[in-house]
Order: sequence, then C-alpha cells, then structure tokens
Amino acid sequence: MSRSMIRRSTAPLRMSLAAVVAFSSIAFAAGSASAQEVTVSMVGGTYGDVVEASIVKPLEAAKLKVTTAIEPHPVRLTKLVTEKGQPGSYDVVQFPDYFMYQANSYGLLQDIDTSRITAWKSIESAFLSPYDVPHIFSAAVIVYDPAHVSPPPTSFAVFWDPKYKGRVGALDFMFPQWLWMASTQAGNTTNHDFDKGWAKLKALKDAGLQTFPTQEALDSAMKSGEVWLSVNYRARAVQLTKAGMNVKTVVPKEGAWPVSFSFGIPKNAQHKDAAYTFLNAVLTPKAQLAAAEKIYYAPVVKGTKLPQDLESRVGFTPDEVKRFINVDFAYVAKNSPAWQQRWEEQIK
Amino acid sequence: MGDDARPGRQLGWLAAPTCIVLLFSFVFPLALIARYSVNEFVPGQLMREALTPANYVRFFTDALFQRVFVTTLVVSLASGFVAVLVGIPTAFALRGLSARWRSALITLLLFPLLVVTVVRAAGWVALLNERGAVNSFLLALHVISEPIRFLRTAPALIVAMASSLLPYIVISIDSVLQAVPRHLEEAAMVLGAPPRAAFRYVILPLILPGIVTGFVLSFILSMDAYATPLLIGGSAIRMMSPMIYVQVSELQNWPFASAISIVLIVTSVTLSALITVAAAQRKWR
Amino acid sequence: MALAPANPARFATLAIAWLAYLVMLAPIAAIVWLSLFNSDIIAIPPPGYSLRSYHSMFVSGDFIASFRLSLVVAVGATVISVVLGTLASIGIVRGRFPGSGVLASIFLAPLAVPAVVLGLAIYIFFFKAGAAIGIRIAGTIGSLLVAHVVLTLPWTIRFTSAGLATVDKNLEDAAMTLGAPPVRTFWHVTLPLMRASLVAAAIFAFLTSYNALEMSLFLVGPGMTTVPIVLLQRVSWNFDPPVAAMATVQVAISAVALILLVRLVGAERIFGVQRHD
Repeated sequence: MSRSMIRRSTAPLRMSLAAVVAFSSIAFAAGSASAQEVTVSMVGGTYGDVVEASIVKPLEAAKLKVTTAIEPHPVRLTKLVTEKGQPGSYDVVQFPDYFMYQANSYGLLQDIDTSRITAWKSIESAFLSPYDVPHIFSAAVIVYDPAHVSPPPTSFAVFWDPKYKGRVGALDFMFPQWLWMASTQAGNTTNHDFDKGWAKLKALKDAGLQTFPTQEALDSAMKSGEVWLSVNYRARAVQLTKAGMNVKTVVPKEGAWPVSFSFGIPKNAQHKDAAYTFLNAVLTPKAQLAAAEKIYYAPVVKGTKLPQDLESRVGFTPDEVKRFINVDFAYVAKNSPAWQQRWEEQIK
Repeated sequence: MGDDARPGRQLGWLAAPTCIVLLFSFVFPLALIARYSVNEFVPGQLMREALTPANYVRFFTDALFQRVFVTTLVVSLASGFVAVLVGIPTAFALRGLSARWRSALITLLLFPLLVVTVVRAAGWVALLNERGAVNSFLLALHVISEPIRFLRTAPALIVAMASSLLPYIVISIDSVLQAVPRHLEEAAMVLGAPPRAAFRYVILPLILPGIVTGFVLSFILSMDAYATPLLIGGSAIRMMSPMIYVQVSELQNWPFASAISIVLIVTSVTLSALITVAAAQRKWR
Repeated sequence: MALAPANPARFATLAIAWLAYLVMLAPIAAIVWLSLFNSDIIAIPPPGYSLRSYHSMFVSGDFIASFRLSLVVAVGATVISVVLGTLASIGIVRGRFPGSGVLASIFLAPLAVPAVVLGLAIYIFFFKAGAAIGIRIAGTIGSLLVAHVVLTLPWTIRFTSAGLATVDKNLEDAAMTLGAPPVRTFWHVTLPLMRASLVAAAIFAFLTSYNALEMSLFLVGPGMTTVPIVLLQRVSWNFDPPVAAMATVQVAISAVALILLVRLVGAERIFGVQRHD
C-alpha cells in the first residue's frame, strides 16, 4: 500500500521533470548551428535600439540571422571568462573600450583580420586597435552653463577658479578622469602619474566640489542652476540641449578623455564569417549616422556626412581628436581600486 | 493506528525529489564557490588552483572590508527591526477590518513586490534626491531652506529596505494573528487585566513566533540585498552583496568574491539560527 | 468587534498602518510621477506634466519578448516549486525521521544566499557540468527554470509546511478510518484544507520568480531576456520619462493580473488560516 502511495504521489513530479526535459530539448534544438547566423552580445537601452534598427535589421533583410543577447558589460565579460576554452555562445561582443581591453588581456578575443574590414582605412586612427572594430565615440569634455560661466573656459583650471566656488559638479564614476584632470593642473602631461592630482582634488573638494552618483542627479543640479560646471560626455550634453537646457561644451587645451564602444570577436566564436559580415555592417554610413542622430555619439568613420547642426554639436574637430589623451588601460585598471577607495574617503 | 511509525518514515521519502533538485542546483554550485574561495587570484590570469586562506584573511583584516561587514550586519538588523516595529501595528490595524477591506489591503500590500527592485530603487532616488520630490516639497513649503541630504545615508537606506520587507512581515504576523481569537484580549480585560498587560502577556506570546519568523526573514533578505543598497546607499554605505558583484564582474577576482559570499551565507545562517533559538527559549519564561 | 476609533491605541495603530502603506507605495508613486514629466530628461522639478512619454515610449521587440519569457518561467517555476514544495513539506512535517529538522533548515537555505552569488554559482556549475558531459545546460530555458525553482522553493516550503501544520491530523485519520486510501485522503481532505497556504505559496513563488534579476542575468541565453533585465538595461543606459512609462505599464499590467487572481480565488482564502473560534 505504501509503495503505490509513493509512486502515485510522485506522478506530478515526474510529469514536471518531463516538462523540464522537454523545455531543455526544445532549447537545444533551436540552437543548432547554421552558416548564416551570428550571435551578438551587447548592452541594451537606447544603444541596443540603435544597433537593432541600423545594423541588425539591414543584416536580417540580407538573410543573415542575428540573435542578440542583451546584458550588462560585467556579465558579458564574466560569461566570456567562464566559456574560455570551450565553444563560445557569442560570435560578436560589444564593449566600451576599457572592458574590451580587459577582455583582450585575458586572452578572450581574436585579432581582427583587417583585410576583411572594408572601411578599415577610413576609421579615425585614435580608435584603431588590433582586437576590435570601433562603432562610436565621444569624450569627457567641460560642460558649462554659458549664462553663468563667462568667458568660455579653455582649460581645466576653470574648475579651481574662485569665481565658480561651489558651482562645480563631478560624477562619482568619473573619478579616473577627475584625477587625471587634476594632475594636468599639477603639471602632468603624460598618460601616467595621475596621483600627482590628489592635492589639487582635495583643494577642489575643500572649495565645495559636489559629487553625484548618477547622471540624472547631475542633470537636475545643472538644470536647477546649482551647478554651472561639470565634466561629462559630449553626447550627454547634446542630450541635455535637446531637452531644452542651455549648456555648451569645450575640449580644453589639456585635452579630453575619450570613450568608445566597439565590437570584437571572441576566440571561441563559432561563426567567424558571419561575425565579419556583422562588423562590416557596423561601419556603414547608415549605422554611423543613426548613432549620431539617436544617441549623439560621434561616428568613428572619417568623413561621415552628418546634418549641419548635428556635426557641430556631436562631432569633434580633428584638432580636438588630436588632443585626446591616449588612455593606458593597463595603468588605469591597475590603479582604479586604490583610486576609488581614496575618492570615497577624501573626495565624496 | 498500528502502523503509525512506518508511514512516518515512508513519508519522509516524499522530500527526496526536492533534495535531488537542490543537490544538483544548489549544493553543488555552492560547493564550487566554496572551492573557489580558497583559490589564488592572479591579476590577468584570473584564478590559480590553490588551498589558501588568503581571501578570508584579506576580508577580515582589511579595514575597508571590515567596515563593509559591520555595515551589512547593522543595516540588515536595523531594517528588520524597523520593519517589525512598523509591521506589528499594521497587522493589528488590518485585523479590525471587515473581510472586504482586509482583502483589498492585503492585495495592496503585494503591489510593491510587483515592481522590479531596480525600478523601486530608482523611484526612491527620485523621491530622496537633493532635488527630488521630498526636498522640493519641503522647500516649497519653506519648512527647510536647504535640501536635506537623504541619499547615501544609513537612515534612508534602512527606510527603503524596511519598506520592501514590510509586505513579508505584515503577512507573516497577520497569518499568525488570524489564529488568535478576537475575544481573547477582551476576555483578559474582563478578568481585570489592563489593555497593555492584556497585549503583553496574552497576545504577544501567541504571535511571537510570527514576529520572530518575520524578523529573521527580513534580516536574511536584507543581508542579500543588492539593488537597493547600490542605488540608495551608493558608495557611502557599502554592503556585501554589491561588493561581491564588483569583485566578480569588474575585477574578475572570483576567489575573493567567493570568500565574501561564503562569509555572508555563513553569517546569515548562523545569526538566524541563533535568533530563532533564543526566541524559542524565551517563550518558556 | 473593533475597538472604537477614538481609542488612542487604535488611533496610533491606524496611523502607523497608514504610514506603512504610504512608505511602501511611495516608490511606485514616484515612478508614475516621473513617467508624466513633460520632458525628455529627468530633471526635477519638471517643466510640466503630460502623457507624451506614453506616446513616445518605444515598445521594443525585446520588451514584449521579455514579458513572454518572464511569464513562462514564472508560471513554470511556480508550478514545479509548489508541487516539489508540497511534497517536501509532507516529508518534513508528517514524516518522522532523524534529521528532519535539519533538512527543513537546509530547504530554507537558498534564501540566505544572495541572488548574485546563486545565479553566478549555478551558471558556472551548469556550464562546467555541461561541458564535461557534452550537452549545453547553461543558457537554456531549462536551466533558467531550474534556477528559479531553487529560488522559489524556500517560499513554497515555508507556506505549505505552515499550512500543513494547521491541518488537523484527526480529520485525516478519520477519513482513513472510514476507508479512504492515504493518497485519496491527501487529495480530498488535506489539500483543500491547505488551500489558502497553497495559493499564498503560488503567489509568492510567482512574484519571486517574476522579480528575479541577478539570478536571471547569468542564466539567460542569447536571444532570451526577462522583464527585470530589460528594465535594468534601460534604467542603466539612460533613465528618462519614457523608461519610467515603460516601468509603469509593466506594473499596471501585473497589478491588474494580481487583482483578477485574488478576485478569482477569493482573497479571504489566500492568507487566511482556518479559525477555530
């Protein structure tokens, strides 16, 4: 009697297990490899929308099956690390420059065969690297309210100007940029020795530097007039302008810290040919223009025709690009934990 | 019944399927994490097989992580405490209502759980920002002349966490309260007990198990909290769960992250067990 | 018979309850408020209010797909979890074997593990196990489902064992004395008496699975995404009124579903325990 009781009682369980196995096998079957498909992992939000519309859709119209995986950068990197040495889930991965550098340093990416990228020679040289194909870029520039800040700043020194005491705002996650900027005011002209800037940063803090944990917090402070000067991506400043705020940007004489988003091919990608098709689609005029129009990032392909007003606001002149600091990611990665701790303790 | 003992043992086997599922999807993965926690971290090379206590030592000797540990404990205990303090009256308030109102309010209680934690935390930020709803409101009424800094303070984090724990606590206490006949405290008072004593000596012991369960649950959930401490505590109030994520995802230091995880789990479980046992002991006083 | 509202104790209780509800619902109200901003950015105070965010809200394909997956996984995980949880509850509440108390605690252990850690651990283990055997486990719907079951089991076991404990064993004994075999007794006597706790277990399991973010992050495969992940990505990249509108719509749909469910089942039955007045 007891045995039949147990058997009957586990019937629902066995049915459930069967359902799980069925689910899984459906999932396996759906993932069988075919020549004309590519799996791309990238970040979501409006960036994902832009990529979907300007890169994925045209590719699918050309009969390439594109599967996108939307996830935060750290998750993507962790998955790549876990899959190292095994057939990979992704054929193309998207990262900002500092993550792409990390991925490469862990041996997760394969070098790009530049002969297979038709627009390679047209890419802005500042963003060329052997292990990825860049998509868009911007830079952390001085953002100011022209109603209160006059004359237009030409140097980072403006942040220390007593005229603007207590009117300077900094984003917490930009601590490396702020440290570098402070070091330029202490005489640093290299892409190392950022620690020279701590004294200057402390002085700025004592003069009333306000720090903000998120973009929205800083936006609100600028909108309300509490903050007149800050450092932010030009793309963000354009967004604020479109939303009706009166802000202007300038790349000072010391330069600017660039940021770029790019696509790479993992070493264990299973559809390399399709990956190159995708990478070429990233550099088409349509894709480059779409990013500029929708999310205000500048195209990496030189000579991309942008509408007149967009050109002046979103783009960077060759002279400005020349002034970009050549970020040594290894140096930044090595020191970031210590810098962050010190920023927390002394500057926040 | 004669074969009372045999069904008992046989019935135990019904728990077997769950055991198997948990073995392969919980115990083994955690064992893997425990194994990683004694590995060595090599920057750039990621992880090297080893049997070193270095990660644990680092966690307990580095001042930053000591602070993180203590902060996590204090905030979790405080959140649970606040949630219980507010939850008990709320459960009592529900008790005196008609069935229709009660069901409506209990449904309303579940609404916060429909909102994804990230969005809920973003809502708190919009409320508590220096330029947020609360400050704008107070400034407009001239109650204050300068915005109050709510975010990145412990009280704000505790309130936000307690608010997300309240549904669990209220339901926990409410379900126990339901088993307490309404007339009980009246009977006590008829027999001469003042209302406060009636509550303390008659009702409270009966609902204490529900309170303890609710508190322990809130404590455990707070220890694990990720999105809320991240967005509201910011970098001023650092808790272990966001720290683990940073170690894994930004620094790729899996051994250290694993060690922090094990410490967190062991602490949660131990403290919960201690609190539960201590509460059970008090009942016999 | 409620005490008169004029009673100071009752007044204080009601006041605190009001405050509790206010604080619990405040973030939701804030999100709805943000979604009504007549602006492209979230800058407080807003330049006015309008419904433009709902018009311009880009209902992307992945948002709709995420709804589907979140629902499928939540329903699947709930069903499996309630079944497994009930079985486990019978085992530990009615089963008498050495160590049943310890087992009961182990069953609740997943709650003590942060979702980030659990998701990552399950992902790594499933991946390595799959690589060792030669089939892909990590990144499939099955693995996501299993992980969500683990996540929800503590809830279902808690509620069902609490409910089971209140069922008067004498009723079961009576039924069996009258000739009903144990399984039939369980199905027709015990389960209906446990109904409230079963529904509560199902609701909490569903909400836990639906809400799960960190757990799902590592376990979704390419092309799969859940509602929390989509919202996280939107909020991270650019938190603006249209994103708030998206979140509001998601909450509204879920709220309607919850209210309908509660109406269907009868709310008094959900969290009520049989009273023995």
